Amino acid sequence: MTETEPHLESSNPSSLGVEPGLRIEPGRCIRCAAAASMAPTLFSLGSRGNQVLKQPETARERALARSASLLCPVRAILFEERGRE
Amino acid sequence: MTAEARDASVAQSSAKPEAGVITTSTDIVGDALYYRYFEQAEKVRWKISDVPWHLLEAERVSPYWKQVITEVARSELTTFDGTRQFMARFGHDPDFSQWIAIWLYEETKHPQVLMMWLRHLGVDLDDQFLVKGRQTAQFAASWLGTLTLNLIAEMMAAEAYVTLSRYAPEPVLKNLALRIAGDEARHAAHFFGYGQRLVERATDLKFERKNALEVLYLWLNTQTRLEHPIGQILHDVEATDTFRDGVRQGGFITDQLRDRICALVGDMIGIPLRGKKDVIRAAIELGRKR
Repeated sequence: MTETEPHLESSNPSSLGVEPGLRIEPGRCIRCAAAASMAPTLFSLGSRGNQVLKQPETARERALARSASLLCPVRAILFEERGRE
Repeated sequence: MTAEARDASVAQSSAKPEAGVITTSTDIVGDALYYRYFEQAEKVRWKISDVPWHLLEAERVSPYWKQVITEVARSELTTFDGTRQFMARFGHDPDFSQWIAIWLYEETKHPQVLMMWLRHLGVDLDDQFLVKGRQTAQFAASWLGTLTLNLIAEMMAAEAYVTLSRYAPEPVLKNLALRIAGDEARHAAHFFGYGQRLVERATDLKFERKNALEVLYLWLNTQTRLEHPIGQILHDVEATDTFRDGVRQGGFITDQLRDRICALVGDMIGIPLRGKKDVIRAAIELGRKR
């Protein structure tokens, strides 16, 4: 077995061919409530998993989106700041 | 004393942090993080009876895996003593100490459910297993250092359980591991939130940040062998041939996880950190500032 498995790795939205921003990778979320705890204005926890309520606008919101992405144990939260590489 | 042990003693001393730095509020319900965290935890709370025990496939479990899960359960028992330390040192903080009650409840379920899984496989553990497992490491010298230590430990635990769920040979164990991984990740998020609040309100932010950086630096240097129970168990499991051959040659702590934790601690303490060099640089700059 190898260290990496496709469904738990690669979190760069650009590499996935999608617009930068904040989004949830379908099928990955395990409903741990970590992101909704950290940033309740950005995430809402539904019965089927995490949902993005809005794109981060302020510096504070962008920082929280980044932190939630870093913390997610299954890399379900993808965040790339617009206008950055 | 080795240099590593000396570093550890500096970062994790028994010095008492300043009291009352996180919560000074005239509106505890409106201001406390506890209420938000409790609400989120309630949304995802799981019961031991939710575990699909009827799907258990005992014939898939080797003696190695029974031993691994026994050791994992042992490492989870340390919550008891961790809580005692939290309450003794931070009991004056109503917000944080209320949250610790949730943490204790949820963490106590982890060894319980793992021991139930073992019992289904004919492994019975006695009360001495529980008593002997109730030990933990010293907390860090500062509030923020302690929160950093626990943030790192919860991140490591979440990663370890996700890895366990991926490679466990038995479906119920996979199920359990993912439930526990979620709890650990949520706890990491909550320690992170208390850390950020501390940074906003600390009376001696330089001291707090410096100790947090010391804890992070120690972890980056010692890998899994941080003076914390989860570090010890990961180190022990990684050392087995079966783990190296069957799971991850590089161990639980990948470069990716190391980078994530480094950046996350940086986000928590308000200093951008992208790696060990940044940690050293930040510590030097803090040392220069008056």
